[in-house]
Amino acid sequence: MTSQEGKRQMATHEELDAIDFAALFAAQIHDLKNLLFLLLNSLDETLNNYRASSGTNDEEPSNLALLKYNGQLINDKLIQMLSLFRFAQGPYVIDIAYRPVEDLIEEVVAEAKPLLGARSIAISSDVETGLCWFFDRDLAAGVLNNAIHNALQCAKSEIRLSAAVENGFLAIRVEDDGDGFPQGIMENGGRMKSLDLSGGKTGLGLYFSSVCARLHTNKDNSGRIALSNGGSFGGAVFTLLLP
Amino acid sequence: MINKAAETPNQAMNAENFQAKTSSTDSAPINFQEKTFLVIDDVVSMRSSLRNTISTLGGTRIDMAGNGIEAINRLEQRVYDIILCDYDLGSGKDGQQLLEETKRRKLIKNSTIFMMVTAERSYEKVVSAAELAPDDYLIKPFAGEVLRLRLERLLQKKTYFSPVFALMDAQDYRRAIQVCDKLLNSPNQYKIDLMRLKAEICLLLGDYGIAGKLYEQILAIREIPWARMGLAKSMFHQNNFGAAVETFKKVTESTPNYMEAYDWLAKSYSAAGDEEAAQQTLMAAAEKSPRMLARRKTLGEIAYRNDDLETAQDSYEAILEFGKNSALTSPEDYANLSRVYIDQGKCDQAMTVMKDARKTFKNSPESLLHGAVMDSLAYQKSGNTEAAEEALKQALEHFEACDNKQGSVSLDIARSCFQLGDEDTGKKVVADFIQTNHDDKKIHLHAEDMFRKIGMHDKGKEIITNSSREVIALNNQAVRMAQAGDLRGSVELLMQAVAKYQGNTVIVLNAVHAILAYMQTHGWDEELGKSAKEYLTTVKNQDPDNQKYLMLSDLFKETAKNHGLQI
Repeated sequence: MTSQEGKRQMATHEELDAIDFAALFAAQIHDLKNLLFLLLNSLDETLNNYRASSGTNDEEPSNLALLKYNGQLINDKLIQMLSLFRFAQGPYVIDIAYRPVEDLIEEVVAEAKPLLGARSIAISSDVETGLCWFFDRDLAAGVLNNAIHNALQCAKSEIRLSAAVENGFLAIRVEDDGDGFPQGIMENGGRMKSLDLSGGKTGLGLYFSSVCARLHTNKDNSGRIALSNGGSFGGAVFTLLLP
Repeated sequence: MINKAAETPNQAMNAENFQAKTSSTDSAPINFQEKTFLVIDDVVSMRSSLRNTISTLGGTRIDMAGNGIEAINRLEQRVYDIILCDYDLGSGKDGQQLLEETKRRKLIKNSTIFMMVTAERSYEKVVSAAELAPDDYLIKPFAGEVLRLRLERLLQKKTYFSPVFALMDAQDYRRAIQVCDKLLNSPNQYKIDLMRLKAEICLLLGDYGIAGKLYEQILAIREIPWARMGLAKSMFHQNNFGAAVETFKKVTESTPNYMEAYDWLAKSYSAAGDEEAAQQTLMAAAEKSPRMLARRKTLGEIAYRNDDLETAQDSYEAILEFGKNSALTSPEDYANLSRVYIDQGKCDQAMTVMKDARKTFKNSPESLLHGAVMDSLAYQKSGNTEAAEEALKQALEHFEACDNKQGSVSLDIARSCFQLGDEDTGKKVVADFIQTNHDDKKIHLHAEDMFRKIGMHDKGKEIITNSSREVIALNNQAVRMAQAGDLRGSVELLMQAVAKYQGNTVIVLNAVHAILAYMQTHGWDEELGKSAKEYLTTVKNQDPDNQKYLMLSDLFKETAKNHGLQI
């Protein structure tokens, strides 16, 4: 290598060193999300055209549903990364307001429905009419979407969402009829040390969920997530607890 | 309890599912075909994507706008039911500024749905815009189904609140409160919203004690920044400045992006007499959101009064810099910077700024007036008395011809007069200015500061006190006459005062009050009724949120109604 070349390489290195990669990635993720929005919207359009031309209203080709499902998973991950980046930048504004829990559940179920066709799974919900609680809608929806998407991967045929007030906390459960959480995840899921950046699964979703839960505070209490097996279907039970 | 039926794609419309849908009020179907939509986004592909989503819901009457100006044009021509606006609108106004402008100009009604669409990046700005918030926001990407659910719920909420909104639009605030109370009697999901709305109306009407109690009730349920903020405002209005400072401070500490809290904190410090702390607070806020021009202006004013010319210069320069090429600056902003330059001895710069002002505003009467008076002060500072006198002469001519003598120009003219030895004119200009604003503490402060800066502190104080005393005396005389039973005399005295102190909102409103009191006992009088209506319109144009105006406007309607008149 000539010294000229070496100098040029050095200069390139210095230039790259000067880039704030965290900020760069955040900005790029943001752009990716906008592109994904356009992509998912044109997919919706395609589905609508398909429905219009085939004359049916309820059935859609499962390959398109699968496309949509994977698109949603990408979106989940982008949201999780961006949100964690924003929390880290601090101070994070959290928009806790008094809202009907039923509305939240209805929304996440509506978002999940187009994905069900990919795997022939049924989703049901059980919320008391008129039950209202204080929470940040977008954070809570992010957590539940992630839980539903996890459940969709493990469930055999059924997923069920339920919400109730227990000991001064709002408990929202996502249950499935799959094989349940592995022991390791039940013990450490959602903790920082369970983030495994070398393996295929990072555990980012659960970590994100536990951070979102903790951001909900009321007087001396703060939110958390709980993982267990059993429940009404004998599978995995994900619980979001908000004070 | 309702159990929503299990649903798979293959059995979407089974009987059980249908039943669950009808029993839940949330899912009341709404015919989007009847609704008019406006989509505002600067990116073409986003716009068409949103249009597609809306047509999926059944909407057909969809208009589009690519920026704030286009949006305003659309809104001036047509009433929309639903507005979907992206927060980032490219280089011009952002979505929040657009929302504020449309609300201020009353281009959208209380019943219009304004939905902000935001990317993750701008989310915080949307959420912390607590003072004038959109009805709801959606973070991209979102599913069409979610948009439908949100719009349905918002329409339902708007319908629920519509009796209150209608009364508010008609400025019938007392009855709006009564309706809030009635709605609050039956438990419902809008309980907190209702309490908030009622508290806001109470603040508007001056029922600060009741408003404060409502906010305390909300805070007992949950610590919410806007409730803490409302409580602090009610303390401020009850002149409890120490407690207000502490409470606003708590909001800025717990929610550092709640920018409105800084403005109120500074205001409370000022009211408590701590101008230094007020300045520091505004400086911290200006650093956080540099483009907020109104705040910069207040900061400039406080810094100038605190003799911190450097900060004043920074603030006024920033206003001209950020406000460039927009309709957000006025000749007064140029004069403010010019004044700082003069005090710093930079006379050339002071005159260059005013040259810019004349050019920017194409020699408008206002820019010529400000320009002449600042030139006169700059010439004085540089020792050119002859040119200063000539410029002052011109300034006085423009001043005479100007109907709308708002702001600091009166004080600049007076300063120039005093410094050039024309004490009589100077005194008269100050007296007029004070008499038009005899109970505005901020204007008294500005005037006192001007006198202090030209070494006339004591004499100036005397002029200010005497000027306002004249108005106060006249006002008190009218009150005494009314108390003694001479309602007619009181009316006449105040109507003369209106003619003399044109533009003095307090006097104009007192005249209305006297007229209404007179007509309540002596019957409706065509001429007086007309005058009262005229006076109310004058104030409405100047200061539509004036509390006493709102109260009297109510009273006017009631009096007219009691005499069988339809107003």
